[in-house]
Amino acid sequence: MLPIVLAPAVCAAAGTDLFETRVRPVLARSCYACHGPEKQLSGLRVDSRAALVAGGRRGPALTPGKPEESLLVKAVRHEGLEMPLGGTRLRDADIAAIEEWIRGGAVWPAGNPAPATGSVDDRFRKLAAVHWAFRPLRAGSALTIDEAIGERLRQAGLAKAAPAPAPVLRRRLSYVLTGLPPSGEPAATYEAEVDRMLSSPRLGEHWARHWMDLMRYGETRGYEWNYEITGAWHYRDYLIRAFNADVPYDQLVREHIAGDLLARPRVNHEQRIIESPIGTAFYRLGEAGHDDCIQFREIALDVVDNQIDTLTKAFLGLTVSCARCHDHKIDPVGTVDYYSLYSILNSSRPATHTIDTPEVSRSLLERLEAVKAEIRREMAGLWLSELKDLPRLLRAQEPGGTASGLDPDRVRAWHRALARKDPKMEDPAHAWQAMVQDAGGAAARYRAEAAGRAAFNRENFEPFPGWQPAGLGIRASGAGEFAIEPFGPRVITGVYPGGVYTHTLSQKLNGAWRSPVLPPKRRKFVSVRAMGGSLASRRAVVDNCAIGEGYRIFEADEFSWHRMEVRARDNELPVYLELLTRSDNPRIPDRPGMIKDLHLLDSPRSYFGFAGAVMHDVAEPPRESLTHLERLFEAPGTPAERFAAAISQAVERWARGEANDDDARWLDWMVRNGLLANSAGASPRLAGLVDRYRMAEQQLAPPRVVEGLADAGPGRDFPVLLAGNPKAFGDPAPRRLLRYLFGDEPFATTGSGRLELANALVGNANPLTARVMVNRVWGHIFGRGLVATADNFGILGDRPSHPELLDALAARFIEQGWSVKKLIREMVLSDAFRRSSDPPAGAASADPANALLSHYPLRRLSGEQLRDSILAASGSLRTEMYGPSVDPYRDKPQDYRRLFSGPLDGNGRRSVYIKITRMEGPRFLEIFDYPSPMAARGARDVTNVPSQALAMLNDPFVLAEAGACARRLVESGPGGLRDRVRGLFLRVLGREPSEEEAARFGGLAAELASLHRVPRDQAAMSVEVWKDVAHALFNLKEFLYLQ
Amino acid sequence: MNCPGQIRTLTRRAALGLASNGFGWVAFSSMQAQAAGPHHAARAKNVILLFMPGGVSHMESFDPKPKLEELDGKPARLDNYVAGPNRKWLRCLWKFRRYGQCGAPVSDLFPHIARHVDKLAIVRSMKSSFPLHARGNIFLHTGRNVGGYPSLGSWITYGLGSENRNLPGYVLLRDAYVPPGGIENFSNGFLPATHQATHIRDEGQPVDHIVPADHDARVQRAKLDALLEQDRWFAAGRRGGDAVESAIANYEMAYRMQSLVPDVLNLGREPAATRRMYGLESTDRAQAAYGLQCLRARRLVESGVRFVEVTCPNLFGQNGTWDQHSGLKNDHERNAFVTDQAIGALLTDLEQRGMLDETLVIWAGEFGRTPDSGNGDGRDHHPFCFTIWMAGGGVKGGVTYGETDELGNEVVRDPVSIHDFHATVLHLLGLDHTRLTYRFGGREQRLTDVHGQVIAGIVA
Repeated sequence: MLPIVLAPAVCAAAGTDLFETRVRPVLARSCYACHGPEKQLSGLRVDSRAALVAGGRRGPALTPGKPEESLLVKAVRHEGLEMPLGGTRLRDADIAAIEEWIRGGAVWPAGNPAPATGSVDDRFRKLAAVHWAFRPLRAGSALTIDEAIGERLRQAGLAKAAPAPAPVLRRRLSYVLTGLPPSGEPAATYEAEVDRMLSSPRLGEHWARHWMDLMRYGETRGYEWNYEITGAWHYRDYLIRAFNADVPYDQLVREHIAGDLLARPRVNHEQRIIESPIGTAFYRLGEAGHDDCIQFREIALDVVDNQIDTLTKAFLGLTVSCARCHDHKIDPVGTVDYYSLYSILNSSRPATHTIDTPEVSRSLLERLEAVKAEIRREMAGLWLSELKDLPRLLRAQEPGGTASGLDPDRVRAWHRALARKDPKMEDPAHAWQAMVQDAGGAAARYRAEAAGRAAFNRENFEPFPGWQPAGLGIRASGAGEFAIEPFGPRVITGVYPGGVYTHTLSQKLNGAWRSPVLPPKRRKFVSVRAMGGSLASRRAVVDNCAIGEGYRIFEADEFSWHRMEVRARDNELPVYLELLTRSDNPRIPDRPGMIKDLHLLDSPRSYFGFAGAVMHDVAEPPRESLTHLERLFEAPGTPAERFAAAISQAVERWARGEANDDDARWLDWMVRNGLLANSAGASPRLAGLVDRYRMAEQQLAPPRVVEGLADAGPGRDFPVLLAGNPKAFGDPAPRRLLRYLFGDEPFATTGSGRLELANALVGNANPLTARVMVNRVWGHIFGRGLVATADNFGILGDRPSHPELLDALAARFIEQGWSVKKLIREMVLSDAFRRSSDPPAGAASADPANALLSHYPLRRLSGEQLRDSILAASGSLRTEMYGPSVDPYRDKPQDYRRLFSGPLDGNGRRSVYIKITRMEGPRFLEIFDYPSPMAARGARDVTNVPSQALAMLNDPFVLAEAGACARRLVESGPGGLRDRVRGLFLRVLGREPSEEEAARFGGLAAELASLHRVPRDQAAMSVEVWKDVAHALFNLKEFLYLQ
Repeated sequence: MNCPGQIRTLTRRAALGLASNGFGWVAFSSMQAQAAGPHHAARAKNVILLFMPGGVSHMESFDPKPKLEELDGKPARLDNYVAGPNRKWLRCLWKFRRYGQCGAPVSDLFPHIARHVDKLAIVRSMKSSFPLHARGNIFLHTGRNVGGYPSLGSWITYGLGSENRNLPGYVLLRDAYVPPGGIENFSNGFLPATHQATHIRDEGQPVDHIVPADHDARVQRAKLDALLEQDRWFAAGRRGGDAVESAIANYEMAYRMQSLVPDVLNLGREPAATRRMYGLESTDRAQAAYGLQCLRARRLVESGVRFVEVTCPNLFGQNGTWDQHSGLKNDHERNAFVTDQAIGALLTDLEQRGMLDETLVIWAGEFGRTPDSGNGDGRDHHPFCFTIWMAGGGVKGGVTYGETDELGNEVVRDPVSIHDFHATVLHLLGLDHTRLTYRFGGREQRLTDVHGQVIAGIVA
């Protein structure tokens, strides 16, 4: 099923723009309170054209085409009547808009009714009370599947089909549970077979794929540039693990909705993965545009719309996204309900979750920390020892100074540092040059400038605190922090001020550092004092648009102020800022041409540091402070003496662990200019320590990350967008789940409300979640749901064929701890599942859809099952689980759309591991009804078209696997034609051939041998011949269909 | 069916029809499905949509703006999404001349198309809603701005059924390029899969899987015979196995399609003059490839394919063939060179064969380009007005419809929405856009949703 998405362009028809953008919002904001659904002061309502024309006690309020005659205009103009009462007069522009609207005929678009009127409200409340799907579960029923099915068949006068033969049943069971043909010897009993398959790791792979249809799973975003969705495959693996481990369904729902917010997240100790937050990846799996969400607000709204659509269809079986523009026409879902969900989701942020447990890197990080402390001690010793020569080195730089007896390299380094041309005033070289010229004058100039800068900074900048960390690398550090270079002769990168860093232990560790949402009254700019490298970036995120164009890569390893313009004004759209390492920026790898240093894309390293943020209106960012140079002017002395004292102070304090930001600036300046020992060769001990550090750092694996949602700061009730128009704001929509079904009370939360939403979805008050899931499982096992419209339990959905059974199963599902495996087990142990697919007499005409399940429905294998079965038959199937996906095979890859090609056989991996690229999907699977991942899809179409036959006849994959099958067959040992036929039947169909079949395919082999000019006596050993026979078997309907 | 090039249209269709043995490209099981239309007498039977993705500059193709000559280089003040401090008006980079009896102006970019102006209805007042490729493309194709809805071609084959059951109703002639919005642009959406576009590529295997994997036809036949025998046994053991029966029938159909489809696409018997006219002999690879697709389009229509769409080679790795935010002079010229001759040839060819009356040819992209530039000789996306043209199939020739302001910035007369455009195309095919519906997601869905008016001014 696809969504009915009434997008803005569709909602705001031409000619109604004025009304929707300029008039209705004014009426809603200023008039509805007294002249709307609640109150009708003076007998007047202004929330429909008819009501306005009809008017109230003062007569008609609106004369279309004639503003000057309309009481509404007189009232807002304050001509004889002053409206809004007691409020401020409307803005002239608003009044003009109302006049213009009336002059143009007062168009009030039909089909966009005013917010729920009394009658709609009543209707919805009534529907919510009576519609079967919204009614509480009939609890305590012991009704079994076979009782329920049997009863309906008896009523319909239909017989039951005979039990299916054991091999047929085993094959059916295997496909339904694991998506693969059976393998190995059958278990002693059917029940044992069921339990064996229930515990097969293949089960999770198969049921994960069902779930992925529902989550419109894709690994790229489509749209224009088909960007990668970071770590999407971790979500696929999460599902496989979850279904295999039989994670209770209510837990799975909680994790999808709010896995990042659970008090005790589920942890997989074996794989050292924090599982719960991965569930929230589902929000991010949809299509997404990269554009600027300020100009094109719909981009952001469409992303959330798709999230709402997926969420409500998947978990509730309801189509809520219809209500984006108007109240649902039929189901009790109002526009406010839509925006209530919008408020919840838009109060959260797109984020990248790091899913490694601390154990993954703990021991290495502890080692790094320990070695780093030793390096620090060693460097401190070296630096202190270097202070000895400092006064002489500096004197040598003074005019007329002599360098004799000094290390010429150090003399040259000092010269380079101090003689730099046109240094900035904050550069110690500037102070040096000024002092050498005129010490007294320099002091005065520095004092004046320092005071000026401080005053400028004080007056024009407002601190912007409250940033929050994410990721494994982020650490707050005091002044004097440093990072170790991962390669090369230098030991440390620099000496940093107090701040927040991702790379104090390793540049491989990831991090994100996010600001709160900008305050309502916005300044024009935010500046951050930051540095970074290897594709670390900074950006402003507008309206949660995760892949907007406006990110900037940090180009410099040294701190400076980076100004960011706040383009979304006045709290219209939520905006926050973030600093990101490469893996946490969902735009990277960017489209071709955007990132110049391509080798960086292959590097596991990325890092940034942050030392403050301010908001401001002046164009200039804060001026660099000069406080570190003050110490030069505190005591008398020659420039060399003053420098030596300043530097000694910094080094000594750093050595004691007492450095402040000013000391750090001095040290950083020294290190970057090569004025302090910073090479591993400076001492043998240092060399050993650095080696140890780097070896440990090399072993560190980059953290595993996946996109998801996260909360930060208080949630917010966003306004209803009238008629879906992104610029027509109505009243705020409180954060709660569909009010007609789950109550009016807003969630008691200061956060986004996702956790409360999760609890509401799986809470006792909600009969839908269990019913919908039970029905999905039923559908996958029996070919169609008890409710045939698996994603629509609303008024327009189908009624359940066996309502009591659905409720009994749903109640048991909950009682048994939401165990999906127990649910599956109950279904496949039923007689109904074990019946033959041969319909009993009369069934085909009396019940053509087989809704009453007189027999098991015959089904074609899905694309995935088919591809996997071919691999299984050929012997190429690998059971390797998890990991990054394999690109689908393409004869014409298009790198610039990220449509790469993978190996023809997909490395023998199951189809669930083939990469789903949204812009153009895997062709072979699509031919067999693999659904386009645009919207939740609980039940696939099953088509039966010649292109499927063509694919099976001519697709190179099918042919190659037929060849692989033949090679293995021929290599299996000597034999005659009949042995080969038997071998092939066992491989492909899992059964012995009959006499007739052995003759038929033996004959085919002989015919093929002659066509291929293979001598008769060599036919049994001819791969060419058996490839063709295997190919024919791959095309058998017995192979393609599940009985 | 061995010498299709020499068989006249009707005979040829009959020949293909006979060869089908009553089974068509469409699924066996859906053969009973009735077409939804037609609703009234059709003016056109077939459509060729020449899709110009990226946004052709309207003021440099069919909508001249002399005012821009005066303003060239001066700071531009537009009140739209691209507005900014550093933008300048940009004059038209090509000269316009008047052509034909109607005297419609066409720029020097399109000398071949220009010769046919008396057949064209040029609509200068198109309006879209999205200045973004992905949405614009999806909107142009499906009338919606998000994926998941059926494309125009799917609606038409759904409405009219296929003329030739051996060939698909909706064919997309494409190269490797995937336009923004993805394959979703050509999707059957919620309509049955039989209405999906069949992709025919300009290089390699034209249709996926159409070339038999077995080089020796007897090998394939031997396999199919054993298969059929075994499958019959399988089907016989099952009552009510309609799906299996259909699948068996599909194999025989697939077998025939392996020769029928290449046969339709085989240009070997087209006269040398025709091949030259389409530019097939061109040493320019792209021009030859586009000519090939245009000639194939004619042949497909001739064989009864209902709706043929031809994409445009994307030569510059941009976000659409005509998406020139800079370098417009060079790249528009190159794109025009690649496409113009073949389009002119297609119109000539259709006319000469008497097919133009029943074939609606449409030349359209998702939007136009801005009258000002933010980057040298570049123009940006402009959905507020742009030009498309239609020819043949019940369309008035020599007509210019609608008008834009002196800058080419806004429509000032007779605006035409994408929905109006869709309504008109359906109308010409005998379909009423308000009655061509499909029930899905709880309501009657339409290509035009709740909008659309037939552009009476261009209907002959």
